[in-house]
Amino acid sequence: MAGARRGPNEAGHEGGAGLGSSGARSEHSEAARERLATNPFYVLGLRPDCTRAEVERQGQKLIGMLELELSAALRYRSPLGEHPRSPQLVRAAMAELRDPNRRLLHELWASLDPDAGPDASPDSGPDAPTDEAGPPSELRPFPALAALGFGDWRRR
Amino acid sequence: MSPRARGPSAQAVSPLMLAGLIAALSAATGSARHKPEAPIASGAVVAALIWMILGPVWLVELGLLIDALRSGDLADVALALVVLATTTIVLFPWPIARSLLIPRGQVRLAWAVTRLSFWVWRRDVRGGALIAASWAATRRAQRGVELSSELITWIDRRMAAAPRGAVRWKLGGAGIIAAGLLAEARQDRTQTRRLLSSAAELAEPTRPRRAIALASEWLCAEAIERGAWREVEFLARTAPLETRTTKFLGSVAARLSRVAPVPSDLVLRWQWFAAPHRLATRELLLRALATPATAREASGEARRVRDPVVAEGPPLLVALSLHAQALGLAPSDLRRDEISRLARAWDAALADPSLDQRLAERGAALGAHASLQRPDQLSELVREDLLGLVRGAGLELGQLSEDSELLGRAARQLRGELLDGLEIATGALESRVDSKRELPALDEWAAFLALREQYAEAASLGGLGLRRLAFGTVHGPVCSLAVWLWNDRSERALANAMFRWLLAEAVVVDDAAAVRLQERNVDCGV
Repeated sequence: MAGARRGPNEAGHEGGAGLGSSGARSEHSEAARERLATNPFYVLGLRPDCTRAEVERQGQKLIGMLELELSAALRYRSPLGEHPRSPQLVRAAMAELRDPNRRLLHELWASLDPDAGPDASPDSGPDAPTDEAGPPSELRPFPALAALGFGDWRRR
Repeated sequence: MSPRARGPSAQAVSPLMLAGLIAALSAATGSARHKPEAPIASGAVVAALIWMILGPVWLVELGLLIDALRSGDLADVALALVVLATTTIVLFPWPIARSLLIPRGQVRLAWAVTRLSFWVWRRDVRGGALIAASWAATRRAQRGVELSSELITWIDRRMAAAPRGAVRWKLGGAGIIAAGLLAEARQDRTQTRRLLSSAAELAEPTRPRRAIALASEWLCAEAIERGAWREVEFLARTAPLETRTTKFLGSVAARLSRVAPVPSDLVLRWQWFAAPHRLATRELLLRALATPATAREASGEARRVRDPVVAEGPPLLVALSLHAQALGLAPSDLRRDEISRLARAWDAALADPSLDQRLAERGAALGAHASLQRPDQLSELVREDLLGLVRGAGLELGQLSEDSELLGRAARQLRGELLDGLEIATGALESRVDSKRELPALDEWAAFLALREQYAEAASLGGLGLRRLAFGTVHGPVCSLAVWLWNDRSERALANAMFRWLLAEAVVVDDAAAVRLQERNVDCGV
């Protein structure tokens, strides 16, 4: 317990109980948002009771439309709002629904109607909630670092 | 001007300048030896000496320059200009570095000129020069000039260089702030914020006042850039050193967020007038003046009133609807009652027999594995989501866990995870200290800050009970690290800050033995 010299003293070494492994961190809610927003049924614009053939047909149709950059296929809705759709996302959704074990869980999460979510916003993406109003104008940010001489990365 | 007229002055200048330079050089080396108990900083004495010697010389040279300009003698003008420029640099090093060299990203010049800044950086000229170099590096990067590895190494070498002779601390507040500004040059904003806010925790003599003022202003400005006005108000109100800038920014933030006491128009105008950078901050003043000078109602006008739209129908649909709404909100906007309602909805949904039936029927139809035809997997996912929401919202688990069975399980899991994370981190620290594996002082400080953040998260989520357990886990290893830094590594500034944090925590968790021990350790000073 005593310090090596006249200086400060060390504490005793307390032992802690053995506990389980570490897991989720606070960013987990971001992963949960991502999981709900990219549910394969929402990505494909299908309901959970659709057949496997419908999944394949809808997937191929969407990929074709995306290759032609048709505006009707560029975005999709989930209960979290509107999100951009890409061929990669569509292919991943089709692959997910081919696995019956995975599809069972996706069906449960997709029980909620995607239109039950907030109104569509043209700039919304999977990472941007669409139901949030911006701050009042007087509370908007101000480039104070540049104003006080600390520099500004935007000049770069 | 005739050579004769100049002669006596030049004869007087040379020995005086020489004496000034010798004094400056001797002080430049002497300033590295810390004498916190000295009533007058050695830098201040040197600065006064330089001013007494070079001040009159500067005035004489200014007069000679005017005479030379009048007479049109170009040789005398050139000579007077050279002497005047030299003495100006020695007399006004910090204004030159601050307004000319740092904004232009002149790293080495800013460092060299700030080494002459004995008045502004009177107790830590070396630290001040490091801050100037790092700040210039940031400005250089911001101007789009890539920081060469050679330049970074040059700064790092000066940061790591130990002062000559026996010292009580090698890394003080100025070094930490310099490292923070260098992190900004690498665009690592989180690390910059962490280091700059931590420098003020060091004991008074180990951190130059100017450096702390600079850090406070940077932290306030950075929060304004994010639009975090409440944070600005808090930072300005609790700043270890109040400056005219932080006063003004704090008042603007209080007015905009309408936190009582809301400053009046007169106070705002006066503080703006008294603070520097008036032109650049005029928009802030106008914005604040346009906001009513009344405090916000305690009922929470700022908070958006939300009436959750709950889907009608089976419990699963209700739970999913609430789940989607919770995920759609910013974590900090989530309230305790919203998470409780969500958790209760999931309790009902998972206990609903129709969910089992649905899983069994659909599972059989799809050909899913039998083990997945039960709601266990869903329950696990929901529990993890709830944990993420609770952590994101920074809510205390204690009361939440009483609201729902699912949350109760989630709370137990989170407690385990938090303590486990702390135990892993402290275990690694303990074994490193035991085997005397040194890290650079800045990395030791960063490791302590990271551990303390983990501890703070556990304390805020788990309440006092978990805080006590967590303190028991961190106390020993952090204390050992601090003792090692104090006794063997001449890093008393860092060690003392660690002891003071341990003492404050020991008081909060009411650990009498730890309080006694840390009181003794804090009394060892720096």
